[in-house]
Amino acid sequence: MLILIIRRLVGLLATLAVASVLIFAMLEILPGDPAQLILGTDARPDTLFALRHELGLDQPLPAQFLQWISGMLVGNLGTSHTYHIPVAALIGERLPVSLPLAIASLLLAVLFGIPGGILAAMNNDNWLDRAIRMKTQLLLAIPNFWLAMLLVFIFAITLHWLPAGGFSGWNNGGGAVRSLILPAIALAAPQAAILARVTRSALLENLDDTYMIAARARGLSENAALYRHALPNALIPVLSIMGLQFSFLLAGTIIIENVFYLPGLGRLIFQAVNQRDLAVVSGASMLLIASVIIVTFLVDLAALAIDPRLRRRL
Amino acid sequence: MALLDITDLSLTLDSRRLIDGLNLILEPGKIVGLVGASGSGKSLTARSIIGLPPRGAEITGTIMLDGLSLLSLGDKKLGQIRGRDIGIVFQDSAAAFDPLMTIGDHVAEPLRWHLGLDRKTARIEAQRALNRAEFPNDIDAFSRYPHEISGGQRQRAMIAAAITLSPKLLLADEPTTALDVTTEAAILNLLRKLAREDGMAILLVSHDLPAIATIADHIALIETGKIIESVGIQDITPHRSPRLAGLFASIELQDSRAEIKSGEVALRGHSLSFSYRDKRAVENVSFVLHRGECLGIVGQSGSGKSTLARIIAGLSKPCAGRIEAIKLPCPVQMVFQDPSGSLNPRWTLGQSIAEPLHREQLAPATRTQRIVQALQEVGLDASFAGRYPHEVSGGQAQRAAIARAIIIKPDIVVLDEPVSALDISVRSQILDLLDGLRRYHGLAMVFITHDLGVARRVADHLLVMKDGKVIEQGPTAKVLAEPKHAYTRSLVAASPSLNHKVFTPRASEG
Repeated sequence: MLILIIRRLVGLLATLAVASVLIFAMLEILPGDPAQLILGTDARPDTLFALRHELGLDQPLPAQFLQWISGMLVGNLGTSHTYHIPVAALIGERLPVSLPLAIASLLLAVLFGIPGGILAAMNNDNWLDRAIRMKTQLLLAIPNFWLAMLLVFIFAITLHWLPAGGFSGWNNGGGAVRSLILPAIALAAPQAAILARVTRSALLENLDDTYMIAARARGLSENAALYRHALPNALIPVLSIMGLQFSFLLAGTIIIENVFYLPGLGRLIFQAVNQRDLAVVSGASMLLIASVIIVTFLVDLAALAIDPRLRRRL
Repeated sequence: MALLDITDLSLTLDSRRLIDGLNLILEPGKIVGLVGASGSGKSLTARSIIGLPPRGAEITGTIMLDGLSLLSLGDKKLGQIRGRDIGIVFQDSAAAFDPLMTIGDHVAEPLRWHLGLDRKTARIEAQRALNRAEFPNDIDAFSRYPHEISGGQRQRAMIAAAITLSPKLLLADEPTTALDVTTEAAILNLLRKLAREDGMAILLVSHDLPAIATIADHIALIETGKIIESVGIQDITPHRSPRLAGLFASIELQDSRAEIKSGEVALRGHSLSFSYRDKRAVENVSFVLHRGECLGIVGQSGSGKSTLARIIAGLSKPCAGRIEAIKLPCPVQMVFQDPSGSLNPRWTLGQSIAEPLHREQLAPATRTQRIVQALQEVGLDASFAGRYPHEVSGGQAQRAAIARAIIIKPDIVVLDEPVSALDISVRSQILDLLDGLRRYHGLAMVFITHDLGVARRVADHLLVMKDGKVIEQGPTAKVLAEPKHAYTRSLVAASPSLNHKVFTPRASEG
């Protein structure tokens, strides 16, 4: 068991290493000279040369990579040339918006998706199941930026219940929460629909399995058999979907944060790409990739905890 | 008074009548064997009794358990009876357990559910049931998951879960079909003990007549949802129960095979060995196979017989030793146990049968002709070429698999348990077919089986394997009549289909 975890941990570090090389290579391949970008096209050659030297761009590639990666390990992600502050500080400023948003969306998706799926499976093919299935289909089909605008129109512009956008900062806790509600719903809706559909079909797949018939034959009621036996088995595929969704949620923030004018990570990346702020792009990408890899690792651990078939006796 | 009294039971599913006016009576302490081909409605009968028929099934008639009419009970009331008064054991023990729950917790579940016992007390009681079911003592059932124990152990655990609350009625749905002979005998013995010592009434559903005959007090033969013969085990005579007597006679091991002149050597194996992950699966095995001869390889699961079959068929390379064929390349074809698994479900039978022809460039007309010819040789008409595997019965699918094996006219066919997934009546037809093919084409066959009865019927020579080694070999009749090795003796003793006392069902008395 321990060996299994260590093995996955080694895999995680290897993936991270490969990802960092890829990001570094990608930035190298990109046309354009960062020093030129910073100084503009009419910079004098000697200032350009001095800045190149200062940024370490005149060193061989492996040395540049080592410098970049060792900086990253101690939290030094370079300096943003548009904001003129360290990238780490910039990201640190934006995370308190994006992270709560992603977590709240995931929670919402789980809270509505899984019970919805269970309800649909238990009422297989009657009106409730059909209603839930139709609703999930609809939520899947609507692009989330459009849903976001719809929500803004209803709850902000018409009803004035919630702000239409912007973020007041966590000093004003209530205000911060209020400004995250609509974006979280917009992000969560399609994910909840996916979770509901996966839960429903995973449950239905298990419902007529021999072990479920055997459980009923031991006297368990339909619901007890479902909660004790079918649900844990159905949650295994649901769990891996949830792992994938977390990365979708992180990526989804790029669109949603722009719709709601939230100063989050997604918007930072969007702007950095527009302004060719490579230090910010590489730092933020590395952070996103690391979080996806870590979440995948956690999902693997959870699957190990749930499914004894994955644990090999040592 | 009868414990279970079924009158005029009918079950309709998708407007097909699958059980049709069935009557059956079970007495306490007695074992009734319900025999029939697959699809005859025998498993459905068991599932109707415990109130868990497939969804959408409509049931009429009455099922009285101890004076209680089961079919008129609501789901809640029925739930109180399931697991407490009626226990059920399924065929496929791998599928009947929740893979995420320990074996022990499965056994404890009825105790916790019906009696509301706390975890600790329930576990003590569950352990008692496990002991009763002779689940091995040295295995901690409460830390083991279903995939971590053997099929025989799972079957015992399932019996334990069914008997924790000492039900009056135990339904056993093909409880031994997936097991090897030795384990099968032990499980049957256990069922007999439960009936004799605990006074349980047992309904033993099976297509395996020899197995049923060893322990049942009464046998009911079911066909298309009806009981067509129902007699005490002592009364099976051609006169009183012609169909059952006929079935017994068909398994009865008449050595009617015409002597086939053993011709030239077709294949020779020289000290073959095969290791798999440091485990020796086959160790130093040598054999000779003559043309027109059938070499039987018998042994329990895990004895290495299937590995040897794969080596002979050229699907695995031996780690040591060599195979010597008189003619090279030596065309070998293989037939597997489960035709539904070995035939591509998306291909028609004709496409599957023609697959081995891919090396020969044939005109479409010749190809079709070859397919039809192969179909005819296995007793199927040309129309089967256009059907898909799911549209034909198990026996027909296995015939198609055999047609695929013989279409290139191979010298040797390796058959890995080709009849163990089939019903008893179909089984003997397939064995006849193989016999005919062998005689007609001078085909050499290697026949892997765990069933000594089948081996006796088809094999000229026998290799008995244990732990990858051949522990005994010789002419079949001789090996079975005077087994030299203790292991062979135990196999012979455990084979219901070899037990002549059961198998000569007093035909002379009738």
